[in-house]
Amino acid sequence: MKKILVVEDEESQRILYQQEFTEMGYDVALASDGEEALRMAQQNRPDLVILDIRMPGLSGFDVLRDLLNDEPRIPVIINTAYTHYKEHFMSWAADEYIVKSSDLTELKKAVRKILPQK
Amino acid sequence: MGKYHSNISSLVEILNSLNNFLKDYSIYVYLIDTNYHLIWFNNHTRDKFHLSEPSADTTCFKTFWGYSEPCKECPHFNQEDTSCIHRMVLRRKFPGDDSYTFLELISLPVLDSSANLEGFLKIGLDVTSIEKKQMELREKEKLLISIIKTSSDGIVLLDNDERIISWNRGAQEIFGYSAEEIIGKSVISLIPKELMELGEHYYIRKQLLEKGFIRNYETQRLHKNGQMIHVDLISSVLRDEQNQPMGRSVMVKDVSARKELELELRRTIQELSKLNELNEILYATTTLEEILRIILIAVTAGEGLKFNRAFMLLKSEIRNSLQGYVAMGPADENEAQRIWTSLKTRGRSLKEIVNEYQLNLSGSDKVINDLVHAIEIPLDFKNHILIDAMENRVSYHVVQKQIKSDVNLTLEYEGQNLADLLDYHTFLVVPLFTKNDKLGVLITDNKFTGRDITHDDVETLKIFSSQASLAIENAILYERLEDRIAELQRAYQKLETNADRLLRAERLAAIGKVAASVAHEIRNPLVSIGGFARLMDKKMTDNDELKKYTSIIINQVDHLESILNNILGIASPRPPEQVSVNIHDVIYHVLTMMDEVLHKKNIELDLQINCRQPQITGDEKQLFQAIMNIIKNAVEAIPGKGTITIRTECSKQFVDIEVRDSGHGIAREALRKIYDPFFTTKSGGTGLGLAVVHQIIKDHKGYIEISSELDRGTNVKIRLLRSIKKKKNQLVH
Repeated sequence: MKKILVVEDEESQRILYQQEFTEMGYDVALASDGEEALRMAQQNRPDLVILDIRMPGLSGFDVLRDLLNDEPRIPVIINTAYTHYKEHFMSWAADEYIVKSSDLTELKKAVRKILPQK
Repeated sequence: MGKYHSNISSLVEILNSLNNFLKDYSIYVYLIDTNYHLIWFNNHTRDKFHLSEPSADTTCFKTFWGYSEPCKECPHFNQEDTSCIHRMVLRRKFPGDDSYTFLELISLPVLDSSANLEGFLKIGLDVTSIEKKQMELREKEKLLISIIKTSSDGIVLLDNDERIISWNRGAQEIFGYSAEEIIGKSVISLIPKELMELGEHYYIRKQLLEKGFIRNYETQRLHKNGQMIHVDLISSVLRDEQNQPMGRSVMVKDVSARKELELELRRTIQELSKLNELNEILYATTTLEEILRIILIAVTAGEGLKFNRAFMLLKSEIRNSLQGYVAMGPADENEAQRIWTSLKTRGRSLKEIVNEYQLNLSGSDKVINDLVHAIEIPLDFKNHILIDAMENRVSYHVVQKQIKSDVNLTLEYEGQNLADLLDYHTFLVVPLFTKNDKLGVLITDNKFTGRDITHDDVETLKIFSSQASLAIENAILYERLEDRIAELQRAYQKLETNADRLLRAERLAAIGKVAASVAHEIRNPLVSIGGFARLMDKKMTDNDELKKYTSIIINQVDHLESILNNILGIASPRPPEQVSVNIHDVIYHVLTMMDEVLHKKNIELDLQINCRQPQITGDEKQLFQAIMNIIKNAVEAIPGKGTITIRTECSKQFVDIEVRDSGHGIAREALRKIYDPFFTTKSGGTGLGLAVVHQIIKDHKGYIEISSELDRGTNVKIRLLRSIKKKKNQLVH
């Protein structure tokens, strides 16, 4: 089962994502901040990281930088409420940039593209 | 004595007896014979000449005067008729005297019985005192006469009937009549008829009667040639010894020259005040057109410089030529007459004249303006009189097509003579210039009166033209200044609106920043709310009662999210991605999203896709949002049933998208503000929809046009640059 690490400081969203992606048939791990995310990435070796940018402590970009160093092969989807980070050069390193929406169709499409199910 | 007899001897006897009687009188009595021998003399004679007794061999001339021959005055010696009494006055020095004595001598011939001349009885009286007085008188008279003769003043004597009895050379010079022509005629013939009618002659006579004289009386008299001359008269009554008037004397002084000077002075003063008045009018005016008109009026108006016509030619820098600009004057004699009579009877001050003249000329100066407009001479045609006048700042007087100065200039240009162009052979050319600039020339003539252009005219026009030049230059400067001021005003206005815009933009940016941060904060909880609502919705069976509630939550969250997207599009716009986008895909995508609403509202969709490859380069998401907003607006504009027409068209360069609805339309005032952020006509609208559309289309270097008619619908046209044959989703980065 493919493993997705969701990095999200908002608990309600973490719950939503866990529910949705589990239903889609993925193994979902959750991190509520950047440090936890990095630790879990090392421990759990996810196949995909869904990364929020604005978080207390380490920002999504900090996490992304370290991930690129330690685990450069793990694909990353940036999932943020902000559109303007798209111009940030770090965003270019991510595989997808998806603006948060209550409609998860787009996000799901991106996940399915990176981690296709048999 | 014995050989004489008859008369002479008896005479001697009588004389001898008279001698005693005569002794107390200083009277000379003597007797001579025809050979001048002294025959007898009285005692007084003897005493005066220190004589002894008369002797036959002494002659009178020898005895009295010591002459060797008879006196020149002697009638006998002069062989005059000696049969009558002669009277003569001798001027002689008596022996021992220094001064002359005048002796009046009466010579009586003495005849014998047969009437032969025997001798002469001479009786002499000393008349020295009388004679001297008479001589003095004669001298005086001579002097007077010569004074009268040589006087340049006229001296005229009149008798009691005012007839001329004396007429000197001065009078002849003043009046032109010789003495022969005028003497005997009445003085009235010299008095002008008008003055006679005014009773001048009567007045003079009355004065003379009362005072006996008149003095420094200035009047006018007639010259023989009919011309009027200005004279100064002194006249006094002449009286005879009985104090009865016997006429009068008149001294006449010709003061025409002085009068002329006076007149000249007065005219000059008038001229100057006229110029002054003109200047005042000129300086009160600032538009060039008006100044040129006033100058021309001043030159031609009756009370102005009185030329018949005036032409103004100005230098054109652009055409590099001297060009006929404007002219003034009547078109023909009839009109000239009409204007001048009307001016004479009505025009008063120069200002009024300027106005009247303009009124009178309205329309008719077209002829003369056509004349002047036909004149254009290149500046480098230096030989032409006009170019030379302007360049060298000189005036030229042309008479009968001949320049009245010794210059090698021509009136011709391209075979056309200036005089022919002006339609008159005699005119004056005066330059218009200031210290800094050569402006042009002024041409004036007297085509209709034919009046000669005098030296005075030239001088006055010169003075005037220099004043006029200043006014022209002022006007030109003023016009430039006005242009400059207008320019500055425009610049200032621009600056002001820019400042306004800047301020507005700043304010919007500030609002935008707040809005953006708020929007982002809202978006996160919305994700949860909407996300869970969808999740719940999914888990419910289709007939679950709660399902309609979850769908309400989902819709409302969608709505909120679209508002957020619009706010963020305005508040923090980002440059569009540069990806190849198929506009049809975007439209279909939007329509899929809107499908439900369209159905629900029973809106008919008319799709006219007339384009094969509507590819453009841009940001798909932004374009999606733009088209979404437009179609949403269309849907919202339709109250009940209605139609939305979507049409695409391609040309080589552009993709045109047109969205037309049959909705309620937009009022004209609203249409103007349609792109303003936060402007809305809808309750619950954010006023951001079209603002975002506008921003996005602008960012894509496209063009949007919205037209609308109330109750008929709105038409949105978008034109985007077409990119040819680029594959979809070909990312730039």
